Amino acid sequence: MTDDTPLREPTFFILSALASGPLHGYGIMGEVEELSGGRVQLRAGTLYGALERLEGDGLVSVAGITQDSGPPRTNYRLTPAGRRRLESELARLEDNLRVARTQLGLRST
Amino acid sequence: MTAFDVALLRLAEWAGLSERRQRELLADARLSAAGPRSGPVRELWSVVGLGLQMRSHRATSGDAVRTFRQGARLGAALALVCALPLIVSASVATNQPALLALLVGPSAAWLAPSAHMARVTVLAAATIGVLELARTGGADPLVITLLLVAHGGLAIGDGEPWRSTGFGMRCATLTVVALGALAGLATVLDPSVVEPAVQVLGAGIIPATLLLVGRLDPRLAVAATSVVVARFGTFDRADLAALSGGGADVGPVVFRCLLMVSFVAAGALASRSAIRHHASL
Repeated sequence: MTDDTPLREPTFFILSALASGPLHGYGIMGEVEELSGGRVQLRAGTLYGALERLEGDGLVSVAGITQDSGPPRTNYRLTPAGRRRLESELARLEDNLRVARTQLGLRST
Repeated sequence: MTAFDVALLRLAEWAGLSERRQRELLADARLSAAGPRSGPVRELWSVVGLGLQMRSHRATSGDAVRTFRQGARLGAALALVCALPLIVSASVATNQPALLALLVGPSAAWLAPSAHMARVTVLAAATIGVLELARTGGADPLVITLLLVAHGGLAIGDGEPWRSTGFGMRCATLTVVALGALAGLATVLDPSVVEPAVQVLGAGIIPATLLLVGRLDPRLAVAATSVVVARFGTFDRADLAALSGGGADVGPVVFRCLLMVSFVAAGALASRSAIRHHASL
C-alpha cells in the first residue's frame, strides 16, 4: 500500500479516533461513532480486521494493557508512521475539497 | 458461555486471530451486540467477513496471479463435483464402477489445493451422492460405496488440520444431512423434483453465492467463474452443429453462451474489485 492510496472510511475514523490518545477496542468503536456523527458504526469484526492490518503496517501499536472491573483490555495508539499517514490523507482530502469548491464557485471556509 | 460466545470464538479462531485478540473481540462484540444499533447476527456476520478477508490475504498476499491460480483450482474442484451425477449415471450405464472410483478419487485429491479442501470436495461429492441416492430410491450400491468412501476419507483426516477445521466439517456435515432430508422429502412428494434441484444448485445458486462472497475473498469469485465456464462452456456435437447452422435449434446454445459471457464479466469485475479492496487499508 502506498501513501497516496485513499484510506477506507472506517480506517480513516479509526486513525482519527486514536489521534487524540490511546483507546481500547470498544473505546475506538464508540469514538468512531461519535466522530462520524453516528454515520460510521464499526462491528467488532470490522474493527479487529482493520487493527490487524494497521498493526501489521506499523500504523498502530499496542500502548499497554489495563484492567478495571472487567476483563483485561489492550489499548492501542497511533504510531508516528500512522500519524504521517493520517496527515497525508488529510492533505489529499483538502486538495479534493479545494478543487470541488473552486468548481462550484464556493468560498473556502 | 452462550451459543453466541462459542460461535464467535470459533469464527475468530477460523479467521486466524491470536488468542489474545480472540478474547478482546469477544468482549467487544458482546458489548456491541447488546447495544441498540447492532445485534448478535450482525456481529457474527462481521467476523465471517473478517475471516474470509484474512484467510484470503494470508493465502495470496493480495497477489492477483496467486488469487487467480487458487480460485481456478477451487473452481475446477467444484466443477468436478457438479459433474459427479453425470459420471455416476455414465458409469452405472456402462457398468464400470472401478473406472468411476479411479476417476473421482484421485481427481478430487489432485484438484484440491489443500488436505482441508480435499475433504470439503469429497464431502460435497457425498452431498451429491445423497441427492442421487434419494433420486434413485436408494437402490444404487455404487452411490452407497461413494458415500462410504467419502465419509471414510473425512474420518481418516490427519491430526492438526482435522482439529482446526472441525467447525467447518461439522457445518458441512449438517448441510449434508439437511440436504439429504430435503431430497428424501422431495422424492416422496414428487420424484421429478430432485434432479432439477441438483442442476439449479450446481449451475445457479452455488456460483452466484460464491460470486457474492467473492467480494470478501476474490478466490471464490474466480472459482465461481470457472464453474460457470465449465458448466456452460462444454459443447457437444449437437451444439456445434447448431452453431454452424446444421439445422438444429440454435436458441438454447446462444442463451448458454450469453449466460457464460455475462458471468465471466461479472466474475472478472468482482475479482478485480475484491483484489483492489484487499490492497487498500
